[in-house]
Amino acid sequence: MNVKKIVYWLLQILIWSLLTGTMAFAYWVNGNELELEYWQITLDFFIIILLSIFYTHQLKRTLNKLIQFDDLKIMDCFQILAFLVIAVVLFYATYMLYIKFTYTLIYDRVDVFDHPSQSLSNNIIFIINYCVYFFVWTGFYVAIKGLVELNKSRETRLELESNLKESQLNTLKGQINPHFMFNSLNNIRGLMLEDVTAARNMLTSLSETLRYSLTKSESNSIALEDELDMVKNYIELSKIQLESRLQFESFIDENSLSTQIPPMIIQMLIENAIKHGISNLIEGGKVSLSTEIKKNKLRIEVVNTGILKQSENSTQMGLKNIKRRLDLLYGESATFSLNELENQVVATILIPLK
Amino acid sequence: MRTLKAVIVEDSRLARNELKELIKAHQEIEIVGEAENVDKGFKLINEKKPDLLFLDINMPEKDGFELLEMLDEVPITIFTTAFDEYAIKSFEYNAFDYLLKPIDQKRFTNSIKKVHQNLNTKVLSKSKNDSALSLDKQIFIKDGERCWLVKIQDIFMFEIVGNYTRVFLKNTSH
Repeated sequence: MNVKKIVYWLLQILIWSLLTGTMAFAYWVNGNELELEYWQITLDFFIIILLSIFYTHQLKRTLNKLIQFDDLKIMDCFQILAFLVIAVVLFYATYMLYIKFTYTLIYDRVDVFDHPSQSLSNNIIFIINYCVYFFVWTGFYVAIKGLVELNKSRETRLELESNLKESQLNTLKGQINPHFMFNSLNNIRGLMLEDVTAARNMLTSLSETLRYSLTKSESNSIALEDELDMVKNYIELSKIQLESRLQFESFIDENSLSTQIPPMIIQMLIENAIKHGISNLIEGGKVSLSTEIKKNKLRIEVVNTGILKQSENSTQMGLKNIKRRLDLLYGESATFSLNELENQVVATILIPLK
Repeated sequence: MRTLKAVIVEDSRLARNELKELIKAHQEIEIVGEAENVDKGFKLINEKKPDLLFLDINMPEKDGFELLEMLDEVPITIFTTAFDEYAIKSFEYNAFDYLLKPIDQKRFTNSIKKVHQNLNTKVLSKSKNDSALSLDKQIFIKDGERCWLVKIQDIFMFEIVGNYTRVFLKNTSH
């Protein structure tokens, strides 16, 4: 149990004991009109404490499920009030059941129900009192919860911003890694000796790649179509390094082209597949990219020949970066997985459509 | 200038072409073979016994360092790589030089010049009866932050003091 939970339960016990204790004390000072046994009073009030804690706790659980505390709307307030009233009614009903049961069947004290203190108006006052108690309780709870959530969402936003900055740096430092850049430049130099037109095209591809990683990575999302252009350039450049060792194929769902995705995410998958898959194989291999829209989710899959190497730190870093970015942007609704299947490495990303 | 037999081990064909273009300016270098991976390179080197090896670091399956570990007789090795993250490691492997791709022609020429100098001194010392250090050779001494080049014939005596060696010269001591 974490500290927050312990504090919550301690406060629950403390608040309801104090409140109920005061009521018990008042009843006692007023002269015990119903002429109850000492232990009966204690038991009754103890049951009230338990029921108060139980129902406020249930109320809290319901609210947690239904309400977005960092973004409270007026409709939410009505919803909260409705649940509050239901909780009090249930609380009252349970307590009455308990009283009827014990005083009729066990204590054999049916007379207490005819006592003026148990009149209908007094019962209504009891319910209203508890409505007020629950209302104050909920008010405090929502306020505290709202503050905590607000802080949390601010932290998430800050982290997202700093992560983005980091990945912008990485575009030059890690993502478009220098190895790739200088190898490309060197290969282009070599290519000029045999095919100047091809070399010129490669220079354009390299410029496009650099431009994309410098400018587009500033935003949080980009159309999949634009990312595919980047991937195409990256593959072209990789092909002058790896030549026949690299084969590439792609199966793109037409409907996915305009889907917004975080920039550089497909690019990083492709880069991983080439760097840690194909370029390690003497005979080379194939990379295939597919996108698909299914069940309101975008599925991006990159498959490459090769096996998973767990020990390599650099792979882990790149992949952790992808996972982290998806987490920050989509929470738990986006997933990323990396599996090995019959001499192939399969990387899959699922992103919810907005 | 003596002829140098050279081997290129580099996985990218274009990078090999690029290197060959640089080598063209040095007619004394004869390329006796090229390989696109470590295993082929290993066979080639054992077969041709080159004087000079141009070696890429990142290659499929095995890297350039692994090739050096496999070899019994290591030629003069010039590493060629795209990025300098391996510079320090390469000198642990007794790299003769470390060239960054794309390679500058001047920088390349300097490196080859150094190879010739190195071979000449080797030839010279060989001709002098293989003696390791002759009287007119200089040695390098580091004394705290200061460094000295000292001629062997100037040394009077060595004294071992704990972990240090004290060198007495004709006129002073370090």
